[in-house]
Amino acid sequence: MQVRACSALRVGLDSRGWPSPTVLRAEAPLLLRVTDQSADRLTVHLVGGAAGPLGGDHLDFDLAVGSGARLTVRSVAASLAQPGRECESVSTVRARVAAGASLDWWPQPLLSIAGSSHTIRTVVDVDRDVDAETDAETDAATDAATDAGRHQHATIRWVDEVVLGRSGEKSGNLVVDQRFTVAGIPLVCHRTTFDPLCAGAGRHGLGRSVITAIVLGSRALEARSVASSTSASMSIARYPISATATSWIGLGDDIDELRAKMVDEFALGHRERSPFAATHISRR
Amino acid sequence: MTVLNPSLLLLADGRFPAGGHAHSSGTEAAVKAGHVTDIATLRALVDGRLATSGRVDAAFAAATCWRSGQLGAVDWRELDAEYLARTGPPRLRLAARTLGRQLLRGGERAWPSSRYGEARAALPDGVVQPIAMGVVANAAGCSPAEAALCELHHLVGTLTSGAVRLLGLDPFDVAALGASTASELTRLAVLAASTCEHPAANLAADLGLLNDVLAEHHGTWEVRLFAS
Amino acid sequence: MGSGKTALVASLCRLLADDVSLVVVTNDIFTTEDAEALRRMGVLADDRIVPVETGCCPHTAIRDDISANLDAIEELEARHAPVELTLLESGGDNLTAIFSRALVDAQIFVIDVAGGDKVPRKGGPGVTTADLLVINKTDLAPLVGADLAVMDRDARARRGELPIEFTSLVSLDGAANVAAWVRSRLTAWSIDPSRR
Repeated sequence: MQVRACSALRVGLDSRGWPSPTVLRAEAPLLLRVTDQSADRLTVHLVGGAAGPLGGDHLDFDLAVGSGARLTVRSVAASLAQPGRECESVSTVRARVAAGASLDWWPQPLLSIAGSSHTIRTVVDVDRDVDAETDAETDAATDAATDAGRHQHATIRWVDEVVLGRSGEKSGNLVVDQRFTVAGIPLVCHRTTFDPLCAGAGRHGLGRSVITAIVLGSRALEARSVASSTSASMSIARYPISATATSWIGLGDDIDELRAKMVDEFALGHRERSPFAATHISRR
Repeated sequence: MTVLNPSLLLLADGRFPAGGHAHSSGTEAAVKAGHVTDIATLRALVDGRLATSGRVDAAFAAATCWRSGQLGAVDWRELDAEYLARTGPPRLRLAARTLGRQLLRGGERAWPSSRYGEARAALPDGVVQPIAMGVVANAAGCSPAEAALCELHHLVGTLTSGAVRLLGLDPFDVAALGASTASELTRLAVLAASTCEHPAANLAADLGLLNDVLAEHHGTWEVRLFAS
Repeated sequence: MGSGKTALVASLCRLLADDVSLVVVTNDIFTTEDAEALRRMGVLADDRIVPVETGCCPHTAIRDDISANLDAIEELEARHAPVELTLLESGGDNLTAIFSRALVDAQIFVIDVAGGDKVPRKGGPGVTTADLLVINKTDLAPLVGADLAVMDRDARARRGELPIEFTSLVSLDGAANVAAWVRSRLTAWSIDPSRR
């Protein structure tokens, strides 16, 4: 059976100033669970309500993070792109991130299964930075102490993991479309096509695992230098793509080894911990 | 009887002085990493690059060529920003701007036009090579499809001649490999021309992940034969 | 290859840099080898030395397609304006190497005694037409059985009136005669730019 599902999550600040969902609508198979809420951050897990996406499915997820809100998105398990009677399945994630908001997106991997044909579309729009100077006029002393606080920019870590086929099997066809804009200006616009018949030198090599990451804001400033390594089983590079954004690409055989190396040696930060917390605590 | 535009042949000639001979467009990095060792793996590199960066470069060359041929202003900044969004690695951006500047220098002497100055003025950080190709191709009287074809032809030539110089492959085998891409080059050039009037945001955005990783890695080597 | 081009460039930098604003572009077979060697010798500020990759085709980069070198030179000239002298080192292993007149005002061709005293007789565009022929490593002549008089005679026969200098860069001022020639060119050009 072909599924059309549209889930939505909007996060703002509640009366206590805590980040909390103002809209939370989830349709199977894309279910959402609030798993942690604190004054600092809201954590939401994506829960696979069915074994989707199956061929023919169309899954939409609309996400908005309002100014001052901090959201972490994780998932409880890998998602499987599986073949269905109708060939194509499409999942679309649209995220709108306000100035002064923070979003940490790092779900479990998507596993592309032989015979499947799946497209993932990611569209992330980041609002123009807001210069907080006018708001802070009354509190000039505090402002001078924390220069970072004067300028409200969004902080984003967006990590996607893909595993091409189960062990010993071929992958399906997978297309990953990504478009990030900042204040309407394109930051990233990519289409990556994974086709089991066309791998190798000119595309993504012969490994099964792919991790890509875009980090925007303060953490990107900490990891701006170019770093790279290649070996028979792994190729990783990190490089700045704008004054406030850094990009990572990791290609390898084993997804866990690849992730560990990107975290340990390429300063991607741990999935278990949000990378932005330390910055926020110091800002208070 | 129609005869091919001789300016297209000149622009497509590897001997046209545009600095391309110092670049392998990723072949050197792919060879050193062991991904290209013979004709079969070189073919995989060529096929993959045509489907990824080749498609993007062809689309931007065709789009710029078409815009340059219209009356009125060209959306230079939009084209440039969209191209950079598709070209993350600083080393690739550097190579694209270096080759763009060099192509504009040679092209402007051969086929003058007011578009060169406009492009340079709108893009003080540099004009990337596919946009430069669009400007030069238009000034040389080429169509958007021809601009795209030229771009693709140079990609194949750069990749294959790099492999000949680095691996000592049989140059006749390599020439045959180049010839075998003809129908794909035609298909991709027609495809690029079909989108030349589209907004820059909608142009092809295909990415080869390994090429991006290796491009940055190549930049860190102490010893290189090619600039890219 | 190994005739002493980099040593000559280093020596010229030492002898000229105090009163001439100069920059160096190297065309190495392997990216940065010569540039790094020059930087290590400390003859010039690091940012006045730029290497240019030539994609296995050093001769193309100075003769047929000079784009990459022009690019590097223009960038150096903009960064260190005004630049009075740019030294562009290229070559290695080829008697046919010749610089485009669109790239350089004068070409110095360096051969060495250790290569045998027959080299000038063989001729080639470098030996025959370069604005200055430098025959280097004269200190090695007795060791390799080369006859400097024969080299001088053969070179003059090939070059007519064009100048020839013998150097031994073992001593720090071994290239004083070449530096003097460079100064004479700079003076001539400053009086009459059309003679470039």
